Amino acid sequence: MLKFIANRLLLFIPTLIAISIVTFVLIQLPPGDYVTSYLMELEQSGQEVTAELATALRQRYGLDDPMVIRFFKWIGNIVLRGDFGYSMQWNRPVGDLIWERIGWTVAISLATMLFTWLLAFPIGVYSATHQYSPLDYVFTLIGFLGQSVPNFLIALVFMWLGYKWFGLEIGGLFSEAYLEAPWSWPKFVDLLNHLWVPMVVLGTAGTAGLIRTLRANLLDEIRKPYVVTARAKGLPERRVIWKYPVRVAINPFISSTAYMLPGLISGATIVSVVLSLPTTGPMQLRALMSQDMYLAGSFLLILSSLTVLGTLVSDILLAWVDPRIRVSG
Amino acid sequence: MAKLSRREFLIGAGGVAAGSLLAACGQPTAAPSPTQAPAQATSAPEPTDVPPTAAPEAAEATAVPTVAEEPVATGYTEAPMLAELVASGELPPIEERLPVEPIMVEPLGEIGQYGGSLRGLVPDPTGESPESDWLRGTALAMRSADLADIIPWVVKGWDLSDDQKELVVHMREGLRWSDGELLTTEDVQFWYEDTFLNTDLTPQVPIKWAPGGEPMKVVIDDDYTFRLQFAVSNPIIIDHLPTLNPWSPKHYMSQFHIKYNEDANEIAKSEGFEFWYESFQFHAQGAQFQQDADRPALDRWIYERQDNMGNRYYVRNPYYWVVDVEGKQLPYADYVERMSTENLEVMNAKVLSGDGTHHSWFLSLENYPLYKQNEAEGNYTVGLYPDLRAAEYGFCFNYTHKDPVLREIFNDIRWRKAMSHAIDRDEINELSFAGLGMPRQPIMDPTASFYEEGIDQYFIEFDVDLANELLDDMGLEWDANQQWRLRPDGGPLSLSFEFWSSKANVTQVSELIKGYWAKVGVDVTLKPEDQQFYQQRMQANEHTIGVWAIGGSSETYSRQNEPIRYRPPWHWPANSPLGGTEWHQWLTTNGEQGIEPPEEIKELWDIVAEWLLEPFGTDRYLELGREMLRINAENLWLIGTVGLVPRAAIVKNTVRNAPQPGQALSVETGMWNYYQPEQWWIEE
Repeated sequence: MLKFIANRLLLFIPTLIAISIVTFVLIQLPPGDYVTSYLMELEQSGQEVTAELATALRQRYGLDDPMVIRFFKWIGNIVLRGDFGYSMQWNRPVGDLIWERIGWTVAISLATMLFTWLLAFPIGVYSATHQYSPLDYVFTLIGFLGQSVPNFLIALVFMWLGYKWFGLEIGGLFSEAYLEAPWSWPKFVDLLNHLWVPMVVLGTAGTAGLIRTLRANLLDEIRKPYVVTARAKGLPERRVIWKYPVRVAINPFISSTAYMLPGLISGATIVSVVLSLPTTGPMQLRALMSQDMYLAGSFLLILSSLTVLGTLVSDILLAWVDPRIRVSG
Repeated sequence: MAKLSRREFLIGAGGVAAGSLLAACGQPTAAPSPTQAPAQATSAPEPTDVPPTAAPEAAEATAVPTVAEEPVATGYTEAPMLAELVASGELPPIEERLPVEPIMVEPLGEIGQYGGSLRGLVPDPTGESPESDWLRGTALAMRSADLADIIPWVVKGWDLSDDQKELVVHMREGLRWSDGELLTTEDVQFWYEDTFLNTDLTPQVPIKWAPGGEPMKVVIDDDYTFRLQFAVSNPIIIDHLPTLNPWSPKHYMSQFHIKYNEDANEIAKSEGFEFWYESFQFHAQGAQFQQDADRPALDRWIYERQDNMGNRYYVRNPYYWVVDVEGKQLPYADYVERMSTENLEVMNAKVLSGDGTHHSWFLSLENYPLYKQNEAEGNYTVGLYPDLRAAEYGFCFNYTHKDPVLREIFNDIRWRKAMSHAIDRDEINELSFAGLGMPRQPIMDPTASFYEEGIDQYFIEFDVDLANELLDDMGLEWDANQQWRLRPDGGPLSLSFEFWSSKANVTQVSELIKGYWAKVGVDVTLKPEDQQFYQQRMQANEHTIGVWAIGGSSETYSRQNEPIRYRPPWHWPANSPLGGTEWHQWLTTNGEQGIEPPEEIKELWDIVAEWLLEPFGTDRYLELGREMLRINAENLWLIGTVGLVPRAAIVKNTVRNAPQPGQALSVETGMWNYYQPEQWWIEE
């Protein structure tokens, strides 16, 4: 087990290096740079856009250095000073920007994940034990609807319903009145009022997959001889199901934690854009579109690292939970 | 449950697909009929009922607030929130905060009440917002209500010498920065010597401030007088004054400047930069980039803070140097807020629900009926405001194309006339602009002082036969199938039409044009591209047709910046040269690089250069202006479709003294700033 972990950790570093190079290069590949899109904005605002301005801006942002130099400057700053660079769009350090939004991102993602698991787990078990019952079909239908209808469409519909029926303000996590106010019970209630939309939207999409997988795995297990034996020996039905087959069927849940870590940070980009949530998803999207080099690069680097880390964690978890994996090495 | 057979499944799926196809081919939504300006419930002056397709009139002197002539005799009053600070001793009394002779503005409607906040929405936390970020604006001078004069704003006045090489500027005595320090020529000198001439901060002096190739000189006479000196006669400096801010708060900024603070580099490092000038620029930055709330400014509202959503908050400047005719210190509104959403749809939804006080920049004409429907619920009034854009969609052929055959064809005036006559502009107007625009060539808008009636209507009739006749005249024969024309060297006449695809109407109009040109035998391949890639192609002279939205065409813009639409390459050469890149090269390098342009272009170039040297308003100025427009109109290098499309704008019914539907709202006059937001007030 220890050897297993040590091996994976050693692979971690070179993977990260390769990722950082690739992400940095990829961001620079499309033609133009941040200055081009900024000049475009200037021009639309009726200001003059001359060659001198372009050169001056490129010099100021260090965009006229060759790519290799820019890369090493960036990586050097990250490793030596923990400085992720400067966002040209926001005119602020990247670290500050990401840090400010991470709180809410993690909160929303965790809430959604809890919601998904709390729903998917019992429903999955119920579906498997009461196969082909009416409720089984109902749950499956809802799950598939949530999966197939695009997330942002559901989000928009719920948002509009919230406005029409409950008078909630459109988008965001708080109503205008509570945005700047200190924490209080009414503010918390307001937050819940707004939070249910992303939780339900993202939750329903996630539950379908988990329900079906759990159901399928559990159905396989329930047919096995040891379950029949347990029943024959007189164990109560609840214990038969929950103590043994369910533990085996949880495997897919655990392997899905690999995507959990990066998912926590990037938080469902499109739904966040649609619902106007203060999370990192929209910021990342915007950074990529306007080629804000350091912000986009830092995001990609963080997300990739978390994915690698998440895979490692989920492998370890799986090895711990399932002895078969431990033994097979 | 009965099992579904494969056959039944396929039939069912086919039925669903057919049904959805039918639904998609439903009736297109009818174009909204142009509405009359709605009756106002406020006591604001009568809105002018301008039919949307007519040319906008020059704004009348009474339509926008004016600067009063006589100084106020009695005392001044201030906003309650400032009076509180004065009472608690944090601010000096109003008489000590205003300059000796503050500017007096006569409000548009009535004298306003203090309080409230103006609120603009943006769909992008990092973008600029004319509704909020721009509202602060100040400059040395500004354009008068009728756009004909430049009137002093921050400064008291100026005198241009007879040889037009020197401008003496008189500043207002007692005018203060937002932190209470006086604005004097010390700040001007600091700006000139330590930022303008400093090569780290200003690597290249813009041509505007270096007539004759030499950067202008600034000479200080006394505390409130300084002189700008030029190497050559420079009468256009007057037109440039609204873009000039030749001062920087020395008492604050010098701490970041290496000349005055030897620790400036350390300060920079502690802020995360490498060099002092990076930190200096960070602190000096304005617009939506400003992060330093301590930096003194002269603006109406000053930056207070920004939260991590991209919302920005501005608060009134207690030292603002403008009062109304009753002596009340402006602005009336206490705050300006910029609230951001993450996307356009949420922003539109907020607009409909009544959020924000005024909107225009991010509204689209397609949603006009939707805005209209929600007027009562949102408590606002939506209207159409004339914009001065010459054309929403204009294009050039690449007159210096690498292919010599195409080059010859494009440079033939018959070709350009034919291609223009082949376009059905009325149809484009109906389909893309709800019939609200005016079919015209992309010439200056009618508010220009040298505008001639009809100058925008050259070669505009939709006449396919005439187009075919001209092309036959040129010798472009049809192929064997009578479907496409052939090039003189035998190949099919096929043009690659690249365009920037992010704007919806660009794609739509390009497709329509492809259809029109197919009827005269010209085959067009459409290529939607990413904006930056497209610009690169144009800069490298690799494109065939350069298309863009033709703003920046008004007289104001052309004098204040450059007449980009009236000389090659018909756009900013650094950014997106539409056509004739190599001509521009030749003309700016005096023949050393590029391709020699035809005589008409050389003539045009000289006329434009002379026009720029001529003081505003003289007879020669008008004559040259007319000539400039005529040469462009007759030679049709830049072809347009529909122009003067009005803008949709929304103003809440609680906001008074704000512009009304029918009044021009254009980026070329500074959008909302033209109507002096300091005298807008909010009725509680």
